[in-house]
Amino acid sequence: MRGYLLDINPSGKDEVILWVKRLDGRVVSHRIKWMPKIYVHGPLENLVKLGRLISQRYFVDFVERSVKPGSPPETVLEIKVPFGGKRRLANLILDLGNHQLFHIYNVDLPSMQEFLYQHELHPTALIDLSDHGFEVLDSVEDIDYDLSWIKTAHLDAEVRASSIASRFSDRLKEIIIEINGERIVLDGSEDGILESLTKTLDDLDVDVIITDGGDSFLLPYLHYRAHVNCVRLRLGRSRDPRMFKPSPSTYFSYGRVYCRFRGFKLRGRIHIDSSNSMLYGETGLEGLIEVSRVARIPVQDAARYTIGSCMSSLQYYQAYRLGILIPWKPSNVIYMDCWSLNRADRGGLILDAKTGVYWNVAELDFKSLYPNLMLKHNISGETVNCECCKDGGERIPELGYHVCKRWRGIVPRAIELPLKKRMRYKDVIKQVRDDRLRTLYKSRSDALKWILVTAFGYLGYRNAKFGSREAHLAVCALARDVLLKAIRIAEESGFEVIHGIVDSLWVRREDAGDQDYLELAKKIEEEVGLPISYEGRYRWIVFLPSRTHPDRPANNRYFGVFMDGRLKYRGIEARRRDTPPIIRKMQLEILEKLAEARDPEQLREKAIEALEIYRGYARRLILGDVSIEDLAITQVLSMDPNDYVVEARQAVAAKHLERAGISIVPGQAVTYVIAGASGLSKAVPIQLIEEGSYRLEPYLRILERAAYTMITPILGSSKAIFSIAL
Amino acid sequence: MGRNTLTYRQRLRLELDRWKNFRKALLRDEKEAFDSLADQVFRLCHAGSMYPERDIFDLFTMSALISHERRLKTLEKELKLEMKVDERLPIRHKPIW
Repeated sequence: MRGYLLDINPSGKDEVILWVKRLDGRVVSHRIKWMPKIYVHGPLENLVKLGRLISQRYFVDFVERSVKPGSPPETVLEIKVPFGGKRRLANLILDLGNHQLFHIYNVDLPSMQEFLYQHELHPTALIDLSDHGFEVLDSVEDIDYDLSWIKTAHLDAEVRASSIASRFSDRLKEIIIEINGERIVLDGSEDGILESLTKTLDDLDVDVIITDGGDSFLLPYLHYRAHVNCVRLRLGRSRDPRMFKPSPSTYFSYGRVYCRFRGFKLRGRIHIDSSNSMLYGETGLEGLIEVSRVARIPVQDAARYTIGSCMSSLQYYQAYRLGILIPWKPSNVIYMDCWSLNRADRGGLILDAKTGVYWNVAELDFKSLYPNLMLKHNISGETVNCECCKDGGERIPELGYHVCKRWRGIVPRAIELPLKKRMRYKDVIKQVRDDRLRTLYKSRSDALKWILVTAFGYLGYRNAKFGSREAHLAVCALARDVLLKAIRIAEESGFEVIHGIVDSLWVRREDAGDQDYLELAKKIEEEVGLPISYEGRYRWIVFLPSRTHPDRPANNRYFGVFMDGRLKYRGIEARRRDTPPIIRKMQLEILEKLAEARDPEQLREKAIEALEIYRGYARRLILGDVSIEDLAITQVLSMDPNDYVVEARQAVAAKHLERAGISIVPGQAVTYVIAGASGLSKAVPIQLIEEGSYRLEPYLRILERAAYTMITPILGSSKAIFSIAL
Repeated sequence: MGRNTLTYRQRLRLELDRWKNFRKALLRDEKEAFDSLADQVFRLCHAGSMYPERDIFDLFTMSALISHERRLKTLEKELKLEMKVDERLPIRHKPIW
């Protein structure tokens, strides 16, 4: 029997259920006896004693595994543990060994991933299922796999809310299911709705349920209502887990605070909460499935993982395949004196732009520079400054580190698949004519890009299993070297380098055409040995100065228009997430106006016309001719609203919401409108504001600043031209 | 992995901060010259960041010198003069008529 692997989940203590959608459309479940394993390493006689001791309760075995990448296999104790028991047993063994004798491995390897690795399986795989087991018929390397068999439905509910926030005690009004553009509304009595929901989902044979806020409210709420009404609600294809209370958690990453809810995972059906899934939000279902296939993670888990965890799974898989154990608590601590840290701890190279308007500029980007460097130079935690190649390994410029020549690192092995696959997708995107196919490949390639981006960051992460700081620093040093080489080549070929930032270069030669720039790209590519992409030729581009020091440039703040009319803008207000929509609209309108210019003279004329656009918007603000949504500012809370020392607007807005019964945890966003100068009216949440009650002055100030950003580089910085003549 | 050390730009900013009493005593046009010099030094960050083991003031001075040399060269070009390394200007023959 052939079919597609929809999902897997553990059942009981020692069984895994495979949910398979057969080619005829029926979904069947298939049970396999299986248990996750942990491994213990230590002195052999102690291992034997330990084995004897715990063999009374667990299945144990002695096997050969490498405890470090690249090291020869050693005898370790393999213990089969029932689901959910890994950590407890691991801690017990550590205690037995006084936290000295034993090292434990594979403890935090998620069980379902281990199952997939062991059976060389991946979600949505085409498999041939028989009594003897199954055979996988497609490969994770395929780029056109079939997903048309997946039936997706959007689920939403309307609640008879007693205030602006819905509560569990509020009664359910109706449920809306959207499938293939059709809208099904279930209404009537509450118990009737809930009873027919299970039946409707089964009748429609839904495979994927997408909700907005399913983890944080909707699914626990529906189950709570079912409980109150004594109805047996089932959203999956088998009994749902009991979870009445959403549990948020807050985490910190790259200077920002995020909030995540514990997932409400269904059995036999996939639930994705679009507001609780970064991958789904960025790349849609296609991208999400691409990541779960490549990284071999069940779709419901991949939807809720951080990208870093998805990327780690690729490394775990490589390690698993090679018989290398995954340390529980990695201790790859290295010591460095201040001097060498100061020398080594630097990021990418930045060549400051000279601020102003430039004509006929080309942008050249290295394609996935960091991952490609890691692949090309074999950079991994265990390969940089390895013990075995002290004299003979490849040298890293500037730092004098060496890289192993004998062993291919886990990290380069892991990123090879997404890197190569992404290149293939990009090639295909250029060839296909069909728009639908192009967006499909685009979202898959974008999803892989996310994985590649995190691959570098994880090298130096303290909990990374196969990383090290030295490897991280080595990649930065290599990247600087590459950009410097590229700059030299461009200059030698007669181009002026205007700006360079980590992996991109902006170059110019007055008479150069696309062909000249393409030749330059090819030359750099050949000499440096890394793929480069020619982003295009700007008709004109403006590099903006810093706000605080007008004579210094602000990197990554520019806007321009390509020869083919495409606009590109970075770092200006329109790109910021906390900019009210009206400001964004104005800036884009101004940019479109400026994009009409064909020469410097016309650009000045267009800039003067753009001033009129600004005045038009200012007039609308003054006359009250704007909707309240256009003024809404969305900001993420970085702390508890009551912990803010200065009364930040987002904290004030959160306090409003708290009074109305909605609690906001750090990492969640609030949307508000500025309604007054001080006190609680400083920021009123959009849910509570009345139409037209906004404070004019701050909005005029933001508007002027946004117009100033766009127009002064062209017309010069005279504040007078920004006067609003009504 | 986050950064553990200060970036070159941050070090430069700290160094300029240390000069604030010195700057305070400068007269207005001297102060302007000081600030303009600081801006010029920031323009050479890409090179400064490649030599982190060097003392920050050394890098500051070298960057300022280079910036001055470049400005001089630009002026020379503008004046259509080409000064030699030994500071001599090329001999210009006066037209005979």
